[in-house]
Amino acid sequence: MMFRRADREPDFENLRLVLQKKAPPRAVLFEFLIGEHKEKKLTGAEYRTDTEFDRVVTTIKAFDSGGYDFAPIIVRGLSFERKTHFVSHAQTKSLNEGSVIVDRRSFENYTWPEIANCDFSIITEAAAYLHPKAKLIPFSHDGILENVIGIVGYERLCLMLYEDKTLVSEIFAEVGKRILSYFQACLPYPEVGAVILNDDWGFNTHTLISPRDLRQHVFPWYKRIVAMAHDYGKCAILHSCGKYDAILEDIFDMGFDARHSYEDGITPVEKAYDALKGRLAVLGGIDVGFLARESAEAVYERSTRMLRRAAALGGYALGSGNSVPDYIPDENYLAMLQAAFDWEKQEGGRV
Amino acid sequence: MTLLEELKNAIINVEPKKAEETTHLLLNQGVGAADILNQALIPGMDEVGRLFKEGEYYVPEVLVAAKAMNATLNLIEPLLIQGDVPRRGKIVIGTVEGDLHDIGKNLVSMMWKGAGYTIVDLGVDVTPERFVEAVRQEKPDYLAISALLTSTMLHIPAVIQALQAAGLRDDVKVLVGGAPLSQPFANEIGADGYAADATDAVSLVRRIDLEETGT
Repeated sequence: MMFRRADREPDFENLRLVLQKKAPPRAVLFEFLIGEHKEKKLTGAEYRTDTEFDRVVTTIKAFDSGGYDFAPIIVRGLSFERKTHFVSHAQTKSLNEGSVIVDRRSFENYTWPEIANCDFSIITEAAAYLHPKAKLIPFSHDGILENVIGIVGYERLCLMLYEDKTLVSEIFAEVGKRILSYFQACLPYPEVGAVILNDDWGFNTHTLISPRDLRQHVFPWYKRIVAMAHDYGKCAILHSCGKYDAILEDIFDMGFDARHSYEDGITPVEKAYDALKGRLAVLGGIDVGFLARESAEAVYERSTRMLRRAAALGGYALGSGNSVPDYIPDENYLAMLQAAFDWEKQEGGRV
Repeated sequence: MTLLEELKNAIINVEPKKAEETTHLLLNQGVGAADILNQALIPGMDEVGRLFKEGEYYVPEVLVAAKAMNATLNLIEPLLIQGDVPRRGKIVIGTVEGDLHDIGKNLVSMMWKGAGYTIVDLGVDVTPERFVEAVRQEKPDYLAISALLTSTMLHIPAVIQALQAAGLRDDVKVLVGGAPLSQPFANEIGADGYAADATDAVSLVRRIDLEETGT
C-alpha cells in the first residue's frame, strides 16, 4: 500500500536541502514519531509488529508510503533503568517517577547501560527495506536531560542542583558520554543521512532547568555530537519541546542545523519560521492540538499557507508540531500530507 | 535589616537552612506567627513568583524557595492553628483521570501554599468521583484540575458534570490549567478560571477572592 503517488519517490537530497536552509525542488515532509494506528493506515497489509525488526521495517514502509524522504530509527539497548509505575489507562507519565538515584550511594550502585548492548547492524539490515534514495535518521532512547530526569526524578533533580552539585555533574557526565557514544556509533553508516538529537528541555513557559544549568551539564555534550555529525558531512536535527527563547543563542552555538517541535501555545510555527529562517531549518510545526481539534479543511489550509510562507527562502519541511499520536483524526493527518502533494502540482513546488 | 526582612530574603534567595534558623530566632524573640506569615513568607513567595514570571527563576529555584517556605511553615503552622489566625481559602487540586502529570500541579500547589492557602492534593489520575468526594468532604473554596495532553484535558468537563450531578457545582469555584489549556477552553467547559502558569494561578485566586469577599 502506498499513500504517496508512485512517481513522487523519496529522495533524501530534498530533506538535506531543507536542513541546509535551502529551497528543495518539491515540498518536503518531516515527522519524528507516528502513532501505531497511523502506521497501520499508511502500510495496510504490510503492517507487522511481531518483532523489533518488524517494527523498524514497518516504520520505514510507513514513512515511504507517507511521502517522507527518510525514516527514523532507534537502535535498542541503551536504556537507562528507572522505576516506572505502569498505569494501563494512563496517557502520560510523571517526570517524578524515577528516583533510582537519590544520593551518592545509589549513584555508585547504579548499573549503567553499556553501548555494547546496542546492535548497530540493524541499521544496515533495515536499510535493505529503504527506498534506494531514502536515508535513515537515528535517534536515541530519550536525551541527556530526559534520561537524567528519568533516573533521578524531576523534583529531586531540582533540589539536587542546589544541594549536591558535584553529584549532579557526575550523573550528567555518565549519561552524556553514553548518548555521545551512541551517535558516534550511528554516524559512520552510509545509510544514515542525519541524526535527531531528541531531548525535551522545556515546557510552555520555561526551560525545565535554568539556561545556566543547561549550559553547564547538557549543552557541551550536544555541541560535541553536532560537531561529530558535521565531521561526517551529516546534519543534526534538534527535537526539543518547550519554550526555547532563553536558549536560542545556545542552539545556534551548538551548531544544530534544524529544530523540530513547535506549539501554538508557545511560539506558533509561522512566527518561529519568520524568526529562525536562514539560521536554523524549521521542521514540522502544525500544532498537535490544532491537528486534533480542527477540521481536515483547516489543516489543509494552514499547511498550504505554511508551505507558501517558506517557498521563497526554503529551510522548511511540513509536519506536525511534535508527533502524530493516534488521537489525531486520520483525515486531518492525511490532509496535511495531501497539502504537500498538491502544493507541488499547484504552485510549482519550490519550497 | 530586620529579622523579618532576613527571613523574606532567605526565601527569595532560596536558602532553606537560613529560613529555618531565622524563623527560630523570630519565634524566640516573640514575633507572632501571623506576622511571620504576612510580612515575610507571603511577600517572599510573591517575589519568587515574580522572578519566575519574569524568567529570572526556573522550577528548581521555585522548588528550593518552596522548601525554605515549608521550613518556616512547619514551625509556625501549629501556632497559627493555636492562635486561630485566619488563613486564606482551601483549594483541592488534582490531575485529571488518565494523566500522570504532576510537575505543574505541584508547582501551583506550592505557590498557593506560599500565598497562604490550604492545599488538599489528590495527586494524579484522579477520577471525577474522587474529585466530587473530595469537594463533599473538604468543602474547599476552589477545585483545581490539571491536564497535560490535548486528549486528557477532554476529561475535565466530566468532572464539572459530576459536580453538577452531585449538586455541588455552585459550592466551589472550578479552576483549570495545564499546557494544552486556554481561556477559551475554560470558558467553553464552564470553568470559573484559567491560569497559564503558577504565578497567574496565585493572581487568579486573589482576584476571585477580592471579587467574592472583598479580601
